[in-house]
Amino acid sequence: MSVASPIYRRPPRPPGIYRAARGLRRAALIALVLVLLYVGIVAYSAVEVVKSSPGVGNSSTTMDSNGTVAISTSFTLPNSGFFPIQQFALHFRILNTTGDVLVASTVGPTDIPAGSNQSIPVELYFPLTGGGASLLTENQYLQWQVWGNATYGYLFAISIDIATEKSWGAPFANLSVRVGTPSGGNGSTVVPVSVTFSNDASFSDSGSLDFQVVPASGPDCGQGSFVLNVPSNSPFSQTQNIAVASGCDPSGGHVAAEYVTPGSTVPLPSEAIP
Amino acid sequence: MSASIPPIPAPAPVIGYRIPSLGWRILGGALRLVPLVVLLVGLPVAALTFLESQGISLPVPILTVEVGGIVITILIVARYIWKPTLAYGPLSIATSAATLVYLWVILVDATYHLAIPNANVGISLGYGDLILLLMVGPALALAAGALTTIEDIRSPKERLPYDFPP
Repeated sequence: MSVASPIYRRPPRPPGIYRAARGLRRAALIALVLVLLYVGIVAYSAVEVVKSSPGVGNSSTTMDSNGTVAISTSFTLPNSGFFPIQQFALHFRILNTTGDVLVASTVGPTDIPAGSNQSIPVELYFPLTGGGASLLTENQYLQWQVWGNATYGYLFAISIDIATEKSWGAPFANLSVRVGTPSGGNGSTVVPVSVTFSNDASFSDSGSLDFQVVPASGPDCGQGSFVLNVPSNSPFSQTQNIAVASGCDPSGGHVAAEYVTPGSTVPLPSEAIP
Repeated sequence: MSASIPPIPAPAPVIGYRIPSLGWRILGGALRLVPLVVLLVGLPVAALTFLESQGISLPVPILTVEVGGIVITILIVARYIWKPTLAYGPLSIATSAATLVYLWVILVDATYHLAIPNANVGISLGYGDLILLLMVGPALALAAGALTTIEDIRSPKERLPYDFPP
């Protein structure tokens, strides 16, 4: 039980409107302090994420079974901060020298929880037909446009744009198919077919190179096949005599070739026969 | 026979107040001026100047920060000096409104673009949500200023015993 002091009299309670204004002012101050404190924690946390060295893992390039070249890699993002990285997405756009879009792909979006070390797989498929046909036989520089975006600390939208050029080594660089002069007699005519190219790709050419000698008119002259086992950065040069149908004149025609692997068949650019 | 005596109502408490003289208030305001100028003008301008010297494009023009910081500082000091007067409420509203306008100017282009020279790398940081969150404080203070203005109109000097207790 409390007894009121005869000497000390508590000051009367301030009017309601005064208390409301005072409460709002205090709330404003608390809000400001909390926001600034939060921003400080987010900034510290973001520095920790950057210091944890996000990076790109080893990449491998393979000829895929569906007639595309697949580049597989991973993006590792250790989130050692206090906040999740939300809606993290990576976008890729890859153009060839003539400006054709070869790859337009997106990885994610995904959330990376705080305190986790997440590796995000990246698979890019280059078509080898249409605008991508030149990738088979022409070394070139590809224009890579990569941009990523995410939200950090629930408040900050971050995006990164990277534009760079990367060299592309063709698996059949400078492909040349030459048809020699038909020779022979007694009902059997043969023609030498020479194939030369350089495998400048980062993967080996394994399979076979099947070809057909097609005259300017009339039925096909003949066909043949080269067995390929060409390691990366190695030249290939072989000649094969193929039997041609009697009366066939390959002059003015062309050689239609295709690269055949156990899972796919990729047409190569046709070579004209002079 | 005893007659019952009706209770005598307690007299309404009369509490006084002690308002510092104008000279003291000006001195207090001048003392507040120093940290305010450092916080609202000095540090932001120094940070922006550093970024500019590193060839990094600025998210806000330095002049905007200077003008905004000086205006808000002057209003805060004026509000302190005129706290015992009827001008306190309107000055509180003006301070909050100026802060809101300042934050709104920053909010209009609340994306910071950082281009890394010779690297073809661009980094963007959007901080619009942060600015919106920062606007909560001045918005509450604006409401508080409005209430104080109403209180001063309805009952002038009513708040003085609580703002300046004896």
